[in-house]
Amino acid sequence: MKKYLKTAIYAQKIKDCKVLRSELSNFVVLNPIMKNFLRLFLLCIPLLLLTSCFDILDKVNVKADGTGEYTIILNGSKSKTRLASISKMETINGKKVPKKADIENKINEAAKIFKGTPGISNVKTSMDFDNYIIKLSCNFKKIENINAGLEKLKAQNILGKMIPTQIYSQNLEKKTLTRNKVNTFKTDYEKMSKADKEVFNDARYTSIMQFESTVKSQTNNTYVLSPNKKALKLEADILDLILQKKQIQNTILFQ
Amino acid sequence: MKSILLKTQKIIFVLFGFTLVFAQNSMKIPADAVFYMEVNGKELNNKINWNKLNPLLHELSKKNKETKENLSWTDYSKTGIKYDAVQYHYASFNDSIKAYNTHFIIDNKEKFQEFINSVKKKGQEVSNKKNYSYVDINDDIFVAWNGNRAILRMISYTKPYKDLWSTEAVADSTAVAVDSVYAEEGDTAYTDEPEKPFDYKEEIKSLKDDIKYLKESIKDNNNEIARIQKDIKYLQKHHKYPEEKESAENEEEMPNDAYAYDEEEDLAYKKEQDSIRRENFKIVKKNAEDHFDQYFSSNLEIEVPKEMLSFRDASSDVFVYTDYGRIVEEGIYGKMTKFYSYGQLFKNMYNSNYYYNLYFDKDKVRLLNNYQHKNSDIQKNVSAIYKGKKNKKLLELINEKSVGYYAMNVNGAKCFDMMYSLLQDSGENEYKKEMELIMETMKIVLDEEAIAKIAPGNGIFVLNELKSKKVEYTDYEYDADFNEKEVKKTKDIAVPNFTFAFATENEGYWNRIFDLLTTNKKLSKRFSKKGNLYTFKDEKNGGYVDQLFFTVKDGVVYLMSSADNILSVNQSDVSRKWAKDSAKYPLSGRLDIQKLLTGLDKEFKTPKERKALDAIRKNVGELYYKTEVKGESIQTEMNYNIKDSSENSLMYFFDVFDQVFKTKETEEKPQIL
Repeated sequence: MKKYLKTAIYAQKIKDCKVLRSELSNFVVLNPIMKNFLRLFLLCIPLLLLTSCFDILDKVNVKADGTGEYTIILNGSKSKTRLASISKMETINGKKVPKKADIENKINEAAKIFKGTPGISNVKTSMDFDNYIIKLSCNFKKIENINAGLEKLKAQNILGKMIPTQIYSQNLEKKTLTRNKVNTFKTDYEKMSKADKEVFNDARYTSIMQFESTVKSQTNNTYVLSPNKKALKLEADILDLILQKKQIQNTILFQ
Repeated sequence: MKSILLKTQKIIFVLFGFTLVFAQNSMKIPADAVFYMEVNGKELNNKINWNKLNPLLHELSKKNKETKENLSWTDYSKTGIKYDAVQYHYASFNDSIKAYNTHFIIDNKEKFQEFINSVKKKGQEVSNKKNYSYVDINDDIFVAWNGNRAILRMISYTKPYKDLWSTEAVADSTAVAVDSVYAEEGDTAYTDEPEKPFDYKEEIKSLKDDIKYLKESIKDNNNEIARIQKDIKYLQKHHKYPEEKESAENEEEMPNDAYAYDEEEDLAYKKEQDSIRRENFKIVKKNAEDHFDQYFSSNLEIEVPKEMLSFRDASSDVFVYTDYGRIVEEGIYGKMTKFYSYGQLFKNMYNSNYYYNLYFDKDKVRLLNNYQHKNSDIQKNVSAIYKGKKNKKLLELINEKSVGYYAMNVNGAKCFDMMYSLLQDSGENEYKKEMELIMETMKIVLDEEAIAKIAPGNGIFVLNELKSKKVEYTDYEYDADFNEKEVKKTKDIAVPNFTFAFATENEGYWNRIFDLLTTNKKLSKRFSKKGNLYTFKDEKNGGYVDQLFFTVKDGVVYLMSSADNILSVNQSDVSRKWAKDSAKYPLSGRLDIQKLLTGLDKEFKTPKERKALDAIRKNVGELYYKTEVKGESIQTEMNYNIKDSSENSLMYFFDVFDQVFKTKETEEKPQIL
């Protein structure tokens, strides 16, 4: 109990420091009505300008024997002007802006961890800081190796706790491949500050799954089946996935 | 989040009633008040159009009703509050209590009570005291009233913890109710309080208070109430709590089940939190009661210290005083400065008062701010900085076609005097001599005159326009088999075209710096020189500004985003008038927000963004800003010129709010195709 009380007090202490500034401004600001009007009026402009967008491309190419290639691309190119300006800043929204070297280190570290994961080989990374495009690709013996790699990244704090790791599972005998359900990020998202939320406003997510075998059926029709029936594509706003307006899980049955 | 919104809304509704009220007699402002405000209801009431405002407030209240709250008031012009009068607000804080108070007059007690009933929680009891009644409309908001007066008091209580910044013992000025929750033996995080003998009567009283709080504030806490009732019965019978019987039981169950342990810990934690909340509520309630008792047993007359009213204009709609020095001193920054030996320097910097007079004129909102340092010598030195000379060359850059400008005509040389006056007496006792020595050394080392010649204090920043620039970016497209392909696309972004210029009396110094940039081995890749014009070019060409041009000409250093900006442009009559106006003030500026948004047009792409842009652009006005020395203060005037669509600048804000609210409403409604 004592422990909790202490924790509560320390939390309060930290909160106090943060709250103090807002408390002071509350005192200074004329009254809540005016505060809301002014806030709405003044905040509308900069918030609209702060939106920056990024795209994630998540691609997996699976052969009939279960081996394959995995690629993930983070594309911030659409916002490169804004990102170029942000990269010159020390902090944004109260968070430290990572330096080029920090990002390189993280990616290299991730590649190293992937390389050390059983079943994963040919790990390649590329970082284009002019266009803000980061790529990571690798080959796998079975698709679950990717889950293990991601799990390791999470354990090493390279990936955030929110990021799902158990993404794929395959059953060669039953001729199925499953894109697993992802836990909801809704609560985490709602806890974010307004400025942080803005980052996701125009962010897009594309999932591509290509196969050597022909797809017989799938459980999620949000995925578009290619004419040759050997590839699936899901395109969604990241926000729709966070808020679970679109589902990512899918079970694919092969012929 | 929802609860915060509801709370804010509730405060809005209640405070709305307080916004325009008058007290016949002066009232007592506590000595520790750091904020004081008068809202001139007589002026404001004439500017409010209730016919427009009521539907908006009603809509908001309807939204609240959906969340099962009881805000159902329909006519906010009839709340029993006397609107055509002045309202008084003040805020104070000490080591544990932060309080915000609003005093107002009631002209219809019955109506007011009806209004309060609509705002308070359902079932919340009104407490009747000897000469007033009161109710807590929230855990930290209390309203008290008698026949013709009312007070709203918002209280935030934080139990003082051991001060990280000091080694002294912590004192809580709020010496109130027994604190059995906090007084855990051996808990060093809390204040050491002398242990009192256990008084079961006191404990029963305290537990009964707990029940009252739970009934009033927490709906789903019946189990907790039952537990406490059980405790009360036990205490009545045995005059003490039972021994720790749970420990033996727990030992058997817990060890192998980590989850069960966690749950129990969680439950204990929750209970503690509830308990802390209840204790805090008792403290804030007592504080509110004490305050109300004090006020309603007085003749309702108060005194406002003269210092607070120094710059009050009786004709302003709102007047505000803030003791900036004390806000900093009493807050976390004050504690930090105490920790450092040079803390006095910060104190010298912040030790000032701010006064604001706000006017909602027909065509503009005007805010007059007076800054005054409490130390008259420092104030004199600050004022001296604001007495600069004008610079014609710089003023020629002002152009009505530009989006905005910010001009400065200060006396840079006087900055040194101010710096010395801040350093003066900033070394307390042991460091006094060291500080004096530092000052003396600085005076010898710094050639103030030569430094001032480099930049005497005249400067201007002009945002000429926002231009559109095509930038290339990489995207991915997919073929029929969903193989990705990198493609180059272009999009338009808004980039600023600006000029920053400042006067210099030492052109050679700046030329030497620029020459160095162009000849230095590392820097010369980016810096080049053509004639008298120096150019900085970003190799990657990826930012908002690809090239920067700078030069020194006729005693002015220019830094521009376009080389053409140096070419003299014939000033129109309006521009000349603005330049003339700017010459009179040490600081002045304008910003045409509509032009700014037009320039940013390309940045708004989605229908939602476009809609918001249109709504804002339609209503947005122009900002004008000037600062000058007025008497023994620095006065800043900020004007926001509104569009003609609204009847006055106060209703303008309500109109904008209404529009934004309606736009949001339409967005939330599901679209039927």
